[in-house]
Amino acid sequence: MADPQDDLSPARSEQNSPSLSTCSSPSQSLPSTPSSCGPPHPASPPLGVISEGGGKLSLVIDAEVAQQACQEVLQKVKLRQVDAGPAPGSQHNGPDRGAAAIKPPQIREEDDPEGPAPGSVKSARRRQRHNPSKQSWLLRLFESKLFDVSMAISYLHSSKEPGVQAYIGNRLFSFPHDDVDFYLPQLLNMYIHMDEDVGDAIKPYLVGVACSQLTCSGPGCLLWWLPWRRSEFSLYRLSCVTCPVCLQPVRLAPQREFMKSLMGIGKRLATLPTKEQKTQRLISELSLLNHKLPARVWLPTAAFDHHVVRVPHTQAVVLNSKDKLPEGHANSCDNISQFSVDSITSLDSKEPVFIAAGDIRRRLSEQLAQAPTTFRRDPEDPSAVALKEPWEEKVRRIREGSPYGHFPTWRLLSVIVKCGDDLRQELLAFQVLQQLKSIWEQERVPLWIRPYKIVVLSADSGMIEPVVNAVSIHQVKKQSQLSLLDYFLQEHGAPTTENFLSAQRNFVRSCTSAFKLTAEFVEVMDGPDGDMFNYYRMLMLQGLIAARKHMDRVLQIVEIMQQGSQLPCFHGSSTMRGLKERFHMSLTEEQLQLLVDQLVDGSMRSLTTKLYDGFQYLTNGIM
Amino acid sequence: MSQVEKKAGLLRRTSSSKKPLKEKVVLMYDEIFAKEDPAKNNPRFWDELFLMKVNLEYLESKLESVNGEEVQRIQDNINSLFHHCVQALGEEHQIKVVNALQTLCALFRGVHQKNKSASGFDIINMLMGFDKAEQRMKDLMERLDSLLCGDSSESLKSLCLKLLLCLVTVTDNISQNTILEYVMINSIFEAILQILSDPSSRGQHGYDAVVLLALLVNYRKYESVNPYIVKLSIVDDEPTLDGMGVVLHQALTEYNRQYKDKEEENQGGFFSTLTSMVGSMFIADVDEKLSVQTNEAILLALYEAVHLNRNFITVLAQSHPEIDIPVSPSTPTPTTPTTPLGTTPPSLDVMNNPELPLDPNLQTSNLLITFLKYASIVMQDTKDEHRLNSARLCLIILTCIAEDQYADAFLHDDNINFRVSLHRMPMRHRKKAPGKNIPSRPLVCAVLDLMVEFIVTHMMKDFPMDLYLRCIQIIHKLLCYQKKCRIRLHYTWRELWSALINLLKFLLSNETTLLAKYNIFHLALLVVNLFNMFITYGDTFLPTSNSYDELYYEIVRMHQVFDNLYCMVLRVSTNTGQWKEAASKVTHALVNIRAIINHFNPKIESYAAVNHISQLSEEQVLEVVRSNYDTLTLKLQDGLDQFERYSEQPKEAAFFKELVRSISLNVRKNVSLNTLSQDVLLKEFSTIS
Repeated sequence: MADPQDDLSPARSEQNSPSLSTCSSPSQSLPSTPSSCGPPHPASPPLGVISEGGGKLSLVIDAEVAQQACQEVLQKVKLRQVDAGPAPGSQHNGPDRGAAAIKPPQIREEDDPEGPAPGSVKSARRRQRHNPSKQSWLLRLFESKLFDVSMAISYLHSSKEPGVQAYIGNRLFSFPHDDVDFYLPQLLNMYIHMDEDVGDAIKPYLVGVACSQLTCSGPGCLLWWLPWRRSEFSLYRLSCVTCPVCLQPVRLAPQREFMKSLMGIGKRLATLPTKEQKTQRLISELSLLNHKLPARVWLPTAAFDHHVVRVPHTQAVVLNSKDKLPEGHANSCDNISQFSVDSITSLDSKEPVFIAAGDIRRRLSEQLAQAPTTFRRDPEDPSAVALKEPWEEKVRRIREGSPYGHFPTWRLLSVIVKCGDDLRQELLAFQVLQQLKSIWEQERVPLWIRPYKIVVLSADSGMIEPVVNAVSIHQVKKQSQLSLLDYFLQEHGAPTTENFLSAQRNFVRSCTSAFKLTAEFVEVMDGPDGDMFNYYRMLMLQGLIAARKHMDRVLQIVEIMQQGSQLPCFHGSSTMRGLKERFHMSLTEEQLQLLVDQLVDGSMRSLTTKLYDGFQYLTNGIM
Repeated sequence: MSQVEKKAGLLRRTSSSKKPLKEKVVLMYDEIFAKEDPAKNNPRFWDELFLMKVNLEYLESKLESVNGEEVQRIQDNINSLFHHCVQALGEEHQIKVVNALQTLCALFRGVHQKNKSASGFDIINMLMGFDKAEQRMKDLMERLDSLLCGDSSESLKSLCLKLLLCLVTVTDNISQNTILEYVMINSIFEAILQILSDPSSRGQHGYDAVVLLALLVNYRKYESVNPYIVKLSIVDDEPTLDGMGVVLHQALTEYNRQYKDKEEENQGGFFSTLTSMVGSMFIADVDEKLSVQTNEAILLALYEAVHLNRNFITVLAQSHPEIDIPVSPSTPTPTTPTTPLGTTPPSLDVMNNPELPLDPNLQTSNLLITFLKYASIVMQDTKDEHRLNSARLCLIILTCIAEDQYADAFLHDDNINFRVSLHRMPMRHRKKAPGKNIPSRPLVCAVLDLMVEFIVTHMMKDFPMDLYLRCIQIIHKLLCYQKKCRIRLHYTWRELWSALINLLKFLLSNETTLLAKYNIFHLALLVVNLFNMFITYGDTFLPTSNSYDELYYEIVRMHQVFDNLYCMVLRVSTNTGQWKEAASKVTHALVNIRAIINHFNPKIESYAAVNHISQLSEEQVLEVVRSNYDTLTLKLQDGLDQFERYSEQPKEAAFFKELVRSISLNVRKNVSLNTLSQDVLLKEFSTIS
C-alpha cells in the first residue's frame, strides 16, 4: 500500500482510456478487486481505515500499526482495564486524527446480563468469564483460518464489546471483498440501526466500499441507493464528509443520473395504458439515453468492472406484470436458419428447371412447423420472444450490430429494471438463496439454484439481473400450448436421449432447490414412482440436512435485517422463530427423511409449496 | 413590439416620401458608385458606412443599373467595398457585422442580377478582382465560419446562414455559380455540422443549415469532386446525424401538421358531410385549399443524407416522441425574436427537454414514420409539377431505404412496432379510413401500405409511369430482403395482390393511350414478376400456409385479367414493332401464372359440376387448390430475386438538376422576402451593446 492517494484516485487516470461495449469491459488499469481505499487483500491481512478528515492527508492506516493497536486493545480488555486506551481505528499515522473514523470505544462490564447474544457468542462469553485469558482465545479464533466473514458478521452483530467490534470492523478489510460485499445490506443495516460503536466499527469499511465505487462496479452501489430508514441521509453525509479528496459526488453523478433516468423511464411507462405504447416509449426513451453514452456508468448487477457504452434500445422489451424493463433483450425473427437448403438456386444451363408447386407448398408448411423454437410474437407479451432467443445467439447478433462490438472486451449485459415494487424483500430472499447455494456447494449437494441478483435502488425500484436463457414456466406453457413434459420432449428430444436425461436431471435439481412442485413437474420427473422422482426426494433430504447444518448462516442474514425493518415479512415477531423451525433442528436424520416424504406428498396434493412462507419469492424465475 | 414596428414603418414611409432628402447611407453609396475613391476625402468612410443602416434596395438597384462601361470605372470601388465588408465581419461592434453581412448579400445579388448572362469569372472580377478573389473569399469564409462556430448572437448566426443561402442560390443553376468554387475550397461544412450537433443552435438555425448543406452538396455534383459530398458521406458522429434527423423530422412534421389543420378546416361539421356527398363537384376547390406548399429542400436534404451517408440510416429509426402536438399559442419567445429573417419554421426541440413530456396519448414517432406520412400526403395529388417532383423524390428515398440492409433490418424488426396512420385520398368509392384501428406492426407494413395506396389511387389518364415503376421496384426490393432473410411478415398480402391485378387491368384497358407515351410492358413485366416471386419463393417468406393457397385463389379468381394480358402481349410480340421484345418478355414471365390458371380452372369447374354448385365459395375453391398442388409443375425463372441497384447517375441526374434549380429559386425568394426587416436585429443589438 504504497501511496494511498493513488489508490483513491485511479479513476482520474483511467478517464481518457475509452471504455467499451454494451455494458461492458474491464480492460482498464483498474484493480480487479473493488478495493481502492482498502489495501489489496490477498497478502497478509492488513487493516485499512478511512479517516473522515478532509485535505490531502493519508487516508489509510498502516496495517501493522492498526493491527498492533487492535491487539493492544484486546490485551487491555483482557486485563480488565475498565477505561479504554486508544481505539485501533484512531491510531492514525496521519495528523488528521481529530475526526477519527472510530471513536475511542467504551469497554463495558462483561457481566451485562441483558446481552441477548445467540448461542455461540454467549458461550464464548461464558467461557470468557471463567477464563482469564478468554480474550486471547477469542483473538485466536479471530486470527484463525476458520474465521470467515459469516462468523465475523455474527460477532459484529452480537458482541457488545467495542474492542471486538472495532477489531472486526478492521478485519473486514482482510476478507475477500466479494465475501464481505455479500453482507453489505447487513452491514449497512447494522450501521444505521445499531448503536454508535458498531456503526463506527463498520463505517470505515462502508466508506471503503463507497470509495471503491469510484473505480468499479462493485456492489457498493448499494450504499447509495439502499433506502433503509435514515440511510439516504446518513449515506449522503457519509459521502460528503469522508471523501472530499475523491470528489465523490461529482464522480458518482453520472451513475446516479443513469440510475435515475432508468427509474424515470420505468415510472413514465407506468402511465401508459397499453403494452404496445409502453414498448414504443421504452425504445424511444432508451434511444435518447444512448445519446449520453458511453459514459462512466455501470450496471450494479454485474459482478465485474465495466462501463456501459450503449443500450441496444431496439432490443428492450417490456416484461409482464407491472412495469419492468429489461435491456439487452432481443426479439428473435426467423433467423435460426435450420433449413439453409436453398433448394431453388438458379442454374446457368439453358435447360428449363421445373419445380412442383406441391413442393413449394409443402416446404412452406414444413418450415412453418419446423420453427417452433421461436415463439410467435404476441404484442401483449413481447418479452416471451425476446427471452426465448438463446443468449449466445443474441449476444452474437447484438455484437454484430454494435459499433463497439469489435472491442475484445465487449460484453453484453442484460438487466431488468423494476419500478413500483419494493425489492428489499427480494434482496433478502436473494441473500438467503445465495447462502443456501453456497452451503450446498460446500456440502456437495448437487442442487441447482440460480438466484436473481438484485440491486435495490429506492423504496420502490431496483434492478434485477435476469437469468439468461430462461423463460418462465408460465410463458413456456402459454406459448407452446404444450404440457411441460411435452415441451421438454420437444426441446430436448426423446426421453432416452442424453439431452433429455440431462435436462431432466437439471430440472429435478432445480426443482428441489426451489421447493416447488406441481403435478406437471412430477410428470417431467417420470411420475410419482419414477427414479427421477426418488432422486428428487433424496436430493430434498440432502439439501435440508446440509441447510440445517449451516442454519446459522441463513438465520443470521435474516436476523440482522430484522432490526429497524419495516418489511412486511417481518411483521409480527414470529418470523425468525418460524424460519428456525423450518430447519427442524430437533429431528434426527431418519425423522427428517420421513418429513421430507410427507412434505413432498403434501406438496403434490396442494400442488404448490413454498418452504419459506414468510418470503414472497420470485419463484417463477428460479429454475 | 408591434408598436415599435409600426413606428418604424411610419418613419420609413415618411423618409421615402420626401425624395430630395436622401439618407446618409444612400449618399455614401452614391460616392462608391462615383469614380473617386470614397476614402480619399474621408478616411473614415468605410468605418462610417458600416454604422449606417443598410439600404438593400437602393444598393441592389444601383448595382443593377450600372452599365458595361461604368463597370470598368467603378470596379475598384466595388472591390474595395467587398474587401471592407469582409474586414468588417471581424469587427467587435455587432452592428457593423450585421451591416457588412447585409451589404455582402446585396453585393452578391445585385451583381448577379445585373449580369445574368455574364460568366462567373466576370462576376468574380467585378466583386473582388481576379488577383485578390482567392484571398477575399478565404477571409470571408473564415470569418463566417468563426461567426457561426463562435458564441456570437443567434441573430448574427442566422444572418450568416442567410448570406450563405443567398450566395448559394444567387444563380438559377447552382453549378454555374463560380463563386461557390471558393466555398468548396474553404469549407464551412464543419460549421454546419456544429450547428446541427448542438441542440440549441439546431433549434434556431437547423433548418437553414440543412438546406444550405443540401444545396452545397449539389454543386457540380456530377462534374467534379465536391468536398461536401465526400464529407457528408463519412460523417459518423451520432449527435450530429441525429441533429440533422431532428431538423428534418421537425420540418416534415410541421408540414404534416399544417396539412392536417387545413384538412380539418375543410371538414367542419355539416359542410364536410355535404362536400363529401357532392364529392367530385368540388374536389378541385378542396384541393386548392389543401395544398400546402411542399418542402422540396428538406426532402432533398433527407435524400442526400440517406443516399450519401450510411450511418444516417440508423437515424431514420431513431425515435422521438411525436412532435406534432399543437404548439401552445401562449409560448412567447423572449430571448431572441425567432428568426427575424428566417425561413425557419417555428419548432420546438425535443432534445432541449431532458424530461420527455408525460402525455400518455403521445405517440412515439421517428423520422421514417413522419416521412411516410409526409409521402402519403404528397402522393395524393401528383398533378402539380412540384408535387410530382416531391412524390418522385419520396419514392427515390424509399428506394434507397429498401436497398439498405440495415434499414431493412429495422423495417422488419418485430420489436419495433408502430401504428402509422397514413393519409388516404378521399375517393368516391371508399370511406375515409378511421385512423384509430390501425394495428401496431413492423414499419415495413406501413411502407407496403403506402405502396398499395399509391397503386390503387393513381390509375388515371395522366399516368405517372415513372412513379409506378419506382413503387413496384420498392416492393420488389422488400420482398427480396424477406426472401433472403426468411422473414415471414404478417401482412395482408391479398391487398397487394388485388392492387397489382387491378393495375394490370388498367394497363390493358388503356393500352392504346398509354402505349403512345410509355413502355407499359416494362411495368407489366415487373408486376408479373412480383407474382412470380410469391409463386416460386413463397415458401421462404409467406407467413402461413394458407397465404400460399390464397395467392392461387386470387390468381385463379382474376384469371381473366391474366388471360387478356397474355393475349395482348402475345399479339404485340408476334407483330413486328418497337414493343416486340418487351412484350415477349412478359409472355415468358407469364408462364407460371398461366400454368396455375390452366391447372386449377378445370379442377374447380369439375368440382362445381360434381357437387352441383353454381358458385363456389372461397373455402371450396381453396379446398380444390389445396388438394391439387401435387399435379402442378412450375418452371423456375431466373433472376426473380435480382434487382438493379439504385444509382443517381446517369438516370436521375436530369431530375436532380431540375429539382435543385427549383429549390434554389424557392430559397432565394424566401430569403429575399425577409432580409429587409432589419429593425428587430438592430433593436436587439442596441440593447445588448
